[in-house]
Amino acid sequence: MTEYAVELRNVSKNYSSKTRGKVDEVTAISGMNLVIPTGTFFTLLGSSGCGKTTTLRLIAGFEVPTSGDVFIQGRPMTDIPPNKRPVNTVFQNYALFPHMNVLRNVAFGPAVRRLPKDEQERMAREALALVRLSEMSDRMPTQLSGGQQQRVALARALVNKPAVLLLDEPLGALDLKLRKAMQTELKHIQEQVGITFVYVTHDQEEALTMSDIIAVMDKGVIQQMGDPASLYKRPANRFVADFIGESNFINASVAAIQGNHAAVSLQGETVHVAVGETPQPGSPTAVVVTIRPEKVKLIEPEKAPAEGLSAVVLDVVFIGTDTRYVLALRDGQSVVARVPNGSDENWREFSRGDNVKLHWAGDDARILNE
Amino acid sequence: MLKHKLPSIGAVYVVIICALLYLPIALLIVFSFNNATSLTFPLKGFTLQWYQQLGQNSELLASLRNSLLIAFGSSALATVLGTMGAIAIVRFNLPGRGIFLAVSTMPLVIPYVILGVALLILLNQAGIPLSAPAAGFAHVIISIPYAILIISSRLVGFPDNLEEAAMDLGASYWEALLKVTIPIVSPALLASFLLCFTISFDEYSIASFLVGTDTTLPVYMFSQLRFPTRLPMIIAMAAIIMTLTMLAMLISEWLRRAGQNSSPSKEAKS
Repeated sequence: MTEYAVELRNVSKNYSSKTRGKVDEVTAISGMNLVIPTGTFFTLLGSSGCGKTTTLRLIAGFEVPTSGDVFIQGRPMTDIPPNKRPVNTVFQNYALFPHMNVLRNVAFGPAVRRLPKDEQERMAREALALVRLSEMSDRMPTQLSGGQQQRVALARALVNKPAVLLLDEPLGALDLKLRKAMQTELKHIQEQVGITFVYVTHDQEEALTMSDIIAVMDKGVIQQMGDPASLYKRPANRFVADFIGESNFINASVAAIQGNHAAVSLQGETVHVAVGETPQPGSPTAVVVTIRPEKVKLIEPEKAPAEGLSAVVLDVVFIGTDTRYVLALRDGQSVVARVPNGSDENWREFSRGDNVKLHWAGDDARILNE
Repeated sequence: MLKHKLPSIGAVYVVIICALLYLPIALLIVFSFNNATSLTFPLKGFTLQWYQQLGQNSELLASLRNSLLIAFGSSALATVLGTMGAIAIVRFNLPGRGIFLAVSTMPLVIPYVILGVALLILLNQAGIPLSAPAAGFAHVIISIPYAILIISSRLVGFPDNLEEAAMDLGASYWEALLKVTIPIVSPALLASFLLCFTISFDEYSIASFLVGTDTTLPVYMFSQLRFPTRLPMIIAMAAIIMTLTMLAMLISEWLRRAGQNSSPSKEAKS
């Protein structure tokens, strides 16, 4: 039963807001089914208002689902208040108690559980050592930097050794350099303590860096769930392809489907692409083909293999290791390509107005299920 | 040109206000040490006899005791009720909390004389005898608006997810309130207590209707004004009250400000 740290079964959450006598029902989460395996670093990724924070608050117990059930370690939690749940939270603005020093902040959990005084202090010091803040234990929260406050919040949430640690955009307020350092450290701490982390962020790069599993959310629904590599390589739909990394979307029509591959044609040219998770057999239809900019190869028309799409270079931007090309296909659709500088013997620099052929390996471009 | 003149206009304004406010108080204190029963210049000489008379006047001391008891009880009760009201208004999305706030702060705009008469009629109808407790409860009513306003402004000032954080760590709602919310708003609680105390202590109109025979200090002092020879003694009492009241107000204001930009950095060094 404890294979899953958290399980949401058909959970929905509606908020009703009253403005000038009119009651508006807002659906934050609709019919969510979610299992989070024990011991994983799990990330809820999405832009603001997608329901990721609501999901976190449902697990913490600060919100009660409108329908559906929440399970933690296999036990039903829907009617259990936050203080009785085996979960702890790292809040976005840290929420440190301003009238207590660092040690008493961290010892708050053991203190309300009425553990012996020396046990409280031992646990708090252990948690502070874990986040490497032992020498700050006498400071007040206002005397700490943002990064240090963040670590105190982490230590305070870990001190109870919860089954699940919930983190609500904990690095949002830190500057870029500190954020990068904390990402590595958080992942390291998670591996060290082995507690299930449920992490909420809108930063796709952060999600890709740290997570074992990512659930991409939009409009209160999980769009796709999987490990970072498969999300990046095989986005299930346009939202995921667009949200994680950069993607090109090319409208084309299907000429033929053979197994996992399809031939699609565009303005008289035919290229081969992979078919998404659920191939849709049947008559040739309009489809969207997606491809990452770094997978697009630019070749001079006369050197090109038979297969490829003709395009014209619209814009060239040199960005250090790579060059970024904006290209127009025959029918005017724009495609972005990102080519490493001096990558191989076929590499050459193109300039604005040049005619090129776009080429890719058959598996790199995929038909999207809209 | 105009900008240069403004500071001097401001200075004149400050001087006039200060003169109007503090000159009478200063005169009061000066005359309380004057060796004469009439309040006229020139001064006759320094004496402490009026202050000595205060200590020997048992009626006055009894009324002082009544006033202190009423002020203490009413301000404590008003602060407790005000805290509960403020938490309800600020923390909970209650339906009709606007109405609740309006009703709670209504006594601010009702003349005390009218409130006094109204309560007198009510107590008579209910058969409750006029007494110090009756006046005390009336003072709770007039003090609650101040308590609610002071405490709710402090509650608005700190993020409500501190309570969530406490509950997340295993505290019940009441533990969170006791260990997190109350300590953080405690300067406001003390400020509220002191302000309510002074409101009750020098309130005359309502007390004069409701105290019955448990005369309070302001009521006693007013009754003694009929006797010209006792005037200097009353003035000595007024000087003492004035000094203590101003002290309490200063402490209350200092606490309120200390609470607002709280940087409790001293503790850390120990």
